Amino acid sequence: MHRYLLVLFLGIICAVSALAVDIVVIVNPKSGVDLLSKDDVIDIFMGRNRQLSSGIPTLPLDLPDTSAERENFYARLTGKSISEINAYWARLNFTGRATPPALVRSQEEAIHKVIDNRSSLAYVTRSKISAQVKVVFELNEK
Amino acid sequence: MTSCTHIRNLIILTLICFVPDSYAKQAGGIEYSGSGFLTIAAGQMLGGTRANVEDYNCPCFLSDYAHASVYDSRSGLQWKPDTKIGVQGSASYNDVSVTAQVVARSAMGTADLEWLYGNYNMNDKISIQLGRKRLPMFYYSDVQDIGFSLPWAHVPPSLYGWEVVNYNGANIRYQDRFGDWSATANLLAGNENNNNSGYWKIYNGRQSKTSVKWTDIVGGDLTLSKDWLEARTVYIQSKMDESYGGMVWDTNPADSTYQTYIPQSGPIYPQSKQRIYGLAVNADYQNWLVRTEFIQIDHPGLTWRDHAQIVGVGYRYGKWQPMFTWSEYQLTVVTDGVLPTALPSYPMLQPLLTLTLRYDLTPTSDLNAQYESLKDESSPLNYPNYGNSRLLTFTYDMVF
Repeated sequence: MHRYLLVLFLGIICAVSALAVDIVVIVNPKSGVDLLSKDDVIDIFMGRNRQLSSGIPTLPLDLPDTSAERENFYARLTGKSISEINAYWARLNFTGRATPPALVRSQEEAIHKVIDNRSSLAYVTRSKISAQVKVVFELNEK
Repeated sequence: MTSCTHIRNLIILTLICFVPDSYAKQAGGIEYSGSGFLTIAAGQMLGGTRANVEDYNCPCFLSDYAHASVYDSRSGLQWKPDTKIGVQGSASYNDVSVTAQVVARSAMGTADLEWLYGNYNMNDKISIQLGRKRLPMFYYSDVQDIGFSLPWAHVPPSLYGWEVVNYNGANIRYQDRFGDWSATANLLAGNENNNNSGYWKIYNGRQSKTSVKWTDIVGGDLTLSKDWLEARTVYIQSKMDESYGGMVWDTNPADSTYQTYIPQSGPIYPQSKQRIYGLAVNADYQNWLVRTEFIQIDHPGLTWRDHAQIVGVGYRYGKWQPMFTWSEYQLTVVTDGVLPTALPSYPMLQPLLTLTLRYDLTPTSDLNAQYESLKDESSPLNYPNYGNSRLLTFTYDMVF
């Protein structure tokens, strides 16, 4: 009985840890950017800024609608749900004011694109990153 | 419907069938992207003033003036007034892009080219656009067809109910940041010519054809936003020329059996000018959303002035969003030094209360239930006078 309780307890710990993972914004080391503020990240991922401080054009990347990382990223960054973010983008996209971040299928694909392109930015969980990318912003759970 | 209309509808349906989700592809340096939106609406009149107004069997609710979207009492549950589908495609090469948007509306039974414009990004802050676009009279003008991006089942007709929604011309847009504030300024110039105005079908009969010309359109808008606050102001002026183009519905108030179409041509009123002033202040603070907007339209040389305003407050509770909106259209008679016109003016006042409950079904779709109650406090001398109305609407919105 005690063994089952222990397994259940460890399962809960793991589930809570999974929900509380740190999300980081990564760039290519050659982007010329060392650090971004929260407002910088909001401006880039909400289509208000198309250029990094180093003068390089920005190519932000988005994970799929169904990904928990995407939901966590926007909830922590803007306090908005994915539906609200999509409604915001519907307004800008259909009127040609701005183009939403390019969609990638997974965190692994996002990391590969950042390694391949010095303009790309992506948000991923900290545990996924390698030395080939640079962390410029951290979104810890509140 | 004409065969051309059938072909257009077929093309749109084909596009929709083969584009199940928004897409983007690149070929030869040119990037193609496509997306779309859909609203399926069902509404039923719950009550109001019983009368035959023009060739409508009322009580009636006018949900979209520009496209003659009218819920009436002829049928029960009606899907035509607000159901619509749109597809948009764009091709871009470096800083140049071309965008087209076609919208098929059940209300008009047609598919129309709403947008077709070329865009050139001069630099990171300035872009120039040329072609057919939405006239930015209101905060939600650009997306008034995209139900998913609205907090209502449809935009409040008291404010958004106008005869012209698009124009052909050019605009230059400037985007920048000033400290914590984001700013977007837009200047535009162009013309609009509609030979079969949906707006005037409401006043001249469903089978009527009325020509509306707005020429020498010049204006601009400025939007400032910071965190949860956004403010927008707009000024547009133009010349107006509106003419009967054939048959209009004729009613003799003294003889209720006399209701028919009669030939009518010539101007509705003398060519005139208009000046449009608008202001919107909106907030998205934590779970609260507030929408306020005001517009005034002066018509130098004519005998009336238009005013309309909305105030809406909503609260996001998870996937649910209840919202209460008060809106009002008002026409005031202006007689100071203005010559009488062929069209006499009488005061109008139409407050509208709207209760909306939105539920986010998926990240790209929602459901709305909306109750609206309009009280017509206009002068009885006005004709046609649609009177009071109460409407219940359900909508399903999605973007793809």
